[in-house]
Amino acid sequence: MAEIPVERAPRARVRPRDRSTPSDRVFSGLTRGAGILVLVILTLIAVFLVDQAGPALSASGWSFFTTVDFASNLRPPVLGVLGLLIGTVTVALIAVTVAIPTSVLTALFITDVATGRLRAMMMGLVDLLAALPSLLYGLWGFAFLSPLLPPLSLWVSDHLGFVPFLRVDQGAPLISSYAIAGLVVSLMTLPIITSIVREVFMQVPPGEKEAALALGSTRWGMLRTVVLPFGRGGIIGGSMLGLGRALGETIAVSLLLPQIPSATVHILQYGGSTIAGFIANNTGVSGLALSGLLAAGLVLFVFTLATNFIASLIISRSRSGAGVDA
Amino acid sequence: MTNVGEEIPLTLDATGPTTVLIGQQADGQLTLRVMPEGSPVVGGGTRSGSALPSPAAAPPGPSSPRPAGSRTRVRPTSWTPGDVVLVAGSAVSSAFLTGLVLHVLSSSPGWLADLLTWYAITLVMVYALSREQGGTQAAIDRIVTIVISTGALLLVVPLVSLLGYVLVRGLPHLSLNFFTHDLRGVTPNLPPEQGGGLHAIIGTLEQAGIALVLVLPLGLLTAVFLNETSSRLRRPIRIVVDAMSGLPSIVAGLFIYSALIVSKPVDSSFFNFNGTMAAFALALVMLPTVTRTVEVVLRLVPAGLREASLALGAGRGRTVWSVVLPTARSGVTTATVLGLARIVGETAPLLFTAFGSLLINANPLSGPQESLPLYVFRLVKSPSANESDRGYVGAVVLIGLVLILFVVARLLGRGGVTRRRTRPTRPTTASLPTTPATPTTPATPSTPALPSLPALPALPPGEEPAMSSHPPTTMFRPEDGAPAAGQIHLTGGPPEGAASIETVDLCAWFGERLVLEGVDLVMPANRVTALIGPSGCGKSTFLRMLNRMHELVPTASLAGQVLLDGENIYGPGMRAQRVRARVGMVFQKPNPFPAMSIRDNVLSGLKLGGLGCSDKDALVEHSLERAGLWREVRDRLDSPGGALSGGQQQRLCIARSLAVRPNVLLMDEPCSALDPTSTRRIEETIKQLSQDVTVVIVTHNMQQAQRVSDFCAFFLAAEGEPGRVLEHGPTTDVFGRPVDSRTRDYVGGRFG
Repeated sequence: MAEIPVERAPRARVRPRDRSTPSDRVFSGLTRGAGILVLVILTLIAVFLVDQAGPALSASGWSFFTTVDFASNLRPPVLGVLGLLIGTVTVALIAVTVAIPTSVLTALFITDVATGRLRAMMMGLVDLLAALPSLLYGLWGFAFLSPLLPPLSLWVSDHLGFVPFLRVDQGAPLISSYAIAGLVVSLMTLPIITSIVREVFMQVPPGEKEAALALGSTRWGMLRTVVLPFGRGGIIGGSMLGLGRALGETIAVSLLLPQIPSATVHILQYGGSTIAGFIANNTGVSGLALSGLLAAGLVLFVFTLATNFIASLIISRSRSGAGVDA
Repeated sequence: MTNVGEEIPLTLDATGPTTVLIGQQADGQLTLRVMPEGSPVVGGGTRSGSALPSPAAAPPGPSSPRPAGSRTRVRPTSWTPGDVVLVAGSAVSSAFLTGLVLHVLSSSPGWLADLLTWYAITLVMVYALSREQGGTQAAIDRIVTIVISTGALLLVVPLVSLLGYVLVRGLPHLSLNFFTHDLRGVTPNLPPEQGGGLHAIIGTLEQAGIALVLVLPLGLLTAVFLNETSSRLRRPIRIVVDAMSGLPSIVAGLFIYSALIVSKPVDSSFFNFNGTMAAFALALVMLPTVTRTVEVVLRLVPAGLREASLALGAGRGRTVWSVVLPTARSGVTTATVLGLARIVGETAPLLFTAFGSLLINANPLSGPQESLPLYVFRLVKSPSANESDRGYVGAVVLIGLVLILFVVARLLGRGGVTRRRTRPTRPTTASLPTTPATPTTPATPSTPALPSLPALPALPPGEEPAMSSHPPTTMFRPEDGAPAAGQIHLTGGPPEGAASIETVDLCAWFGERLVLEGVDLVMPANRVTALIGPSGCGKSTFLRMLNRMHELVPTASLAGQVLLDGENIYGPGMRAQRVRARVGMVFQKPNPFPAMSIRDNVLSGLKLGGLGCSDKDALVEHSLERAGLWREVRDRLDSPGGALSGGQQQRLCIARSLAVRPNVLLMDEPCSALDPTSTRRIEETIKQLSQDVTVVIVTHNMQQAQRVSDFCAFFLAAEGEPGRVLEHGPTTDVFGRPVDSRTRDYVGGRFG
């Protein structure tokens, strides 16, 4: 009965081929077509942006990246993205700095403190925060938050004015500042960071958490030794994604900042601009100025792209991010 | 047989897990009681989590169940009333302290300083008091809990403040006028109740609608392409879609403005400021988001469902359309509605494309068009109080619109299979046994059955009825001469009867690794062949090669032949789909289609494989009967398949495979996830099945192999070598007189 395999001639190894049915061909044709269409549309946009930004870039040369001012009404127009870029990054950094602690705490609250209805409610609120249009945030910041903050700004600049960017020039108004714009934008990055961090925290293996608790650890001990180390990659990656969102934020910033490019950053006082906000305030332009705006938009896009790319890299490389979509 | 008293956990909606208790009435009918989780099951002995030692709270014995309600029920928590008093007391006393320091002893710089000082002092007090009570560790833990909860509060406060502020500003001025008028003839000195935003509402709905129509099919198909095919194009497309999801919306608007409105690719008045241009820009914003979210949702559909569908003989497209998309439907809808909510409030790209207008323009194809965000954006910036109040009214309406979409999305998100229930669960005549009197009876999918059938005998509770004593079963046994099965005509299905299956020098590779070598095995028709052996010896791979599921693994390849009634299933011109319809498969983990009812699950093979049937009701009954499930589910054929217990689900999967009348049925450890009772039921089923089909079963359970199989093959893979068949033959020989010493050791339980 037992069989000893006999030596046989080398076998022809094949990967089975299947004859496709008409319906399968329709299916693969349709989906492939859609995929290719998306590929073409999105590639066209990139090509077009580069192409249309060309005139402005060739007119200004490298000085486009070193010039602070952007004044398209001058003859010849002065086109530069540096001032706008500084402002964009400033707002985004303020926003993310404010948002990270709140997001991490909220995520911990959802995963490890709240239970039942409270947890579901908090998750719903985070989603709602993400669903509200940025226009409304801008509106609220512009009309409600702006008047509340100057006394605080004054106090900070009086006591912490030795820090360069917290200084306030004599007599400068304290509304429409980077600080206010950053605060409002931070609200828009909150839901993004919170949901990524929450997803990462939820993937902490329950066994590891229970092991910590079973050793007699308090909840904080468990969070510190198990949850936070596990979620580090997710926290960094989520923050980067929030940064990407903050960089591209337009309408709230265009309401909150005067959109005058400048190279000096005093975050508590009047003044400032961002690329997206500046574009929004310059509707209806044409010619070289339009090309300049497209070039600025391209710079913004590249910045956002790089941020998002690094973010997804960090998330997917970290132990916790393997199954998280970012 | 009896499932009386069985509890089936299932999720009916988002209100929480629910338990269904199956009872049985005197007439043998099953009753269902649905109860939310936590309700006591009377007599079931749900133990209350009482922490109080009470002499009266003796564990309930099965003989004298005490009503659970009489016990004190507590949920152990880490916060006692004492803790709450401690924190509240600290908060109050620190409020006094703050007032003393900041307002009496010095002057406060503002309310925020008060708040921060108060918070800090409270934390210090709580820490000090808790350390006194429970030590440093407990004190730190309490502080951290408070800080975390504060963080969550920090997120809620702005949200509430925002909604409250906009509502307070806008709601008093909201009148019906807003929905019936535009801004024709409205000047800044008119009160905010004058004029309206009808033109903006029309514009928003049209633009969002056009964008949705553009995005939905494209995004859905692209997501399917990315997740359900194995094309090499997936990688570049995924990269581009990911990249574009970072495209700032203002740049999308600027692109449309520059590429279509300024450049005018064709000299036509269409390429000007209008609603369609706005929709194009919004579509660019929405497309990557929808594609990515739908892809994520599709990825959540268990791979087992796709395999089950393919194993029933469905093509790729059919599987996506009938199994994957219905299962993911609620997720896809939620993603779409949320994407819609997103673009409804999008302002930036519209500045460059729709441009805005004061008057109604219902034609999205020409002329500037208003939209709600534009309306709000322009008016609230106005220095005139009336104009800005008008803007806030618009903001209230915008919030309302977004909230409606948001709530709709959440309701759809929690919706599921159970919402599709169309018929009552109560027994109806339609679900009584139906057997067509003559073959000429037309297909009657849902009409009441013929009334001439004998009623089923009531089953004495607790008695395990033998399947053969049950009339509807016997009529499917060939020797009884009542071949009801022959009266159900399937068109387009496999040929009748069981088929033998034979492998010739079969080898399998994953990548460059040879996992199975030189298997020559004959599995005779109408017999049960068991494949045994330790894990990793290639049994399952072998099984999956018998119906061409092996090749679904991208790196898989093979050599040799599989002969189904003498015909090589890997021969040129053979379709995998056709082979899988002839060779059915039951998987290790039960995988009924969750988006289908029990009835639809049984019939899914017809739909998926494109088969026709003369009498679907009879086929459902016949298949369920053969799988030994009919009596348990006949009253609830329309409830979802996922609501059954594990053993019932597996029998439903067997019924599903049987409904297409396969010639061979492959079973990959069908009982490994089941309890002994369900296992016994399935073993009984297997023994009966061999009258109609050839069964090949992989099992780790030696007793099971002995009980159910006629023939047996022992697979073994030596260290670092591919799996081979060491010994095969009649089961009695392999178990009784094994030739190879390794076989003797394995079946005797000495290794493996």
